[in-house]
Amino acid sequence: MNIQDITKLFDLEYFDGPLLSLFADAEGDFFLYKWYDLSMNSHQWLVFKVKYATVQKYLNGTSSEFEVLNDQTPKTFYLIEFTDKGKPNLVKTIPQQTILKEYDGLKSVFFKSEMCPNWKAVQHFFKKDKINPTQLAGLGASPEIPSLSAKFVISQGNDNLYYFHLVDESGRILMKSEAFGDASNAMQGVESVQQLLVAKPNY
Amino acid sequence: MLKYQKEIDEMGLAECPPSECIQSFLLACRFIFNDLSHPNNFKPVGLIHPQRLNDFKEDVKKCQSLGLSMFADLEKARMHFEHLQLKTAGKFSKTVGSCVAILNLVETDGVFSDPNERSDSHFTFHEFEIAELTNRIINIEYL
Repeated sequence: MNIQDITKLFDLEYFDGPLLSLFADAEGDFFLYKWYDLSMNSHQWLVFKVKYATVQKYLNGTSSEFEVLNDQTPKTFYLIEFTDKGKPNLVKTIPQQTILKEYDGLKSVFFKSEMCPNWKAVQHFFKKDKINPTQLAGLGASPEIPSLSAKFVISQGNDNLYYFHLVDESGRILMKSEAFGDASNAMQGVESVQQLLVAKPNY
Repeated sequence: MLKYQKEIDEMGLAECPPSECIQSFLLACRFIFNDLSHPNNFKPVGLIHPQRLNDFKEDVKKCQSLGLSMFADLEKARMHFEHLQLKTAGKFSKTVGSCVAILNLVETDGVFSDPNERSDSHFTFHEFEIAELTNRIINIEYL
């Protein structure tokens, strides 16, 4: 896993900052960032690959957070530390058994939607039965537009904000969006433009 | 004048606190350390841990990071603490303390987001420059 190449989709739980966030990579794999520890000099997260259905069950309230930790493969957790400039560094890997022992109390912890800052967008995202990997944000999202040989691409700019472009077959940028604070909002922007293009093909 | 106006200006936050914030009397709960003089008891998260500012990309979240997390309902604050202690394997109390202070906030202390917006009664409080919240504590409960 290259931790530099995954993009945040949503903060799922939040209190004075993100506690659990959903990320994705270009292959359509999902990852969770779980807040791990904080001191004056470090800010650490557990990062692990997770199945879409596992996250869906957690958000539906049918699985505890312990089950999320228990249901991931490969059975390795990455401990990530952020530098002052916001770049993630791998501190170490931790075996799943160590994590399950530490977080045994999560067997009784279930998702609380009031802790999700963008719950409507998350609900919208997860109401689909399955996700087309190419529709994931940040990494070559490419929902096809009817009667137009172009695709949308969402990317993070140097300013850390997200933009989407409409790009034709030759790579020419046909349209550039405004800036979005996170990838999920950029995805909503893409959906709005798609709907507009379908409703008004000459737009 | 807000206590952290300089930081708000430096971050270029145009609408912070949000215009819908309320200025009023309120009984409120805040997690604090069991040392009343702990410097982080009434310090915004964005100033306690500047490295966390990278977590706050949207202006709304940046603004919240310069305010104080509080609850309007003591029972809901207790439940929130227990939930987050479990979620973090006990590390939450290391970050915010293991007590809840009940504060008798008055109009001249600051402005706050609507506690009724969320079912857990959480809101963000933005202090005025002259506020001294330690003096507003009327009760402390160990969690």
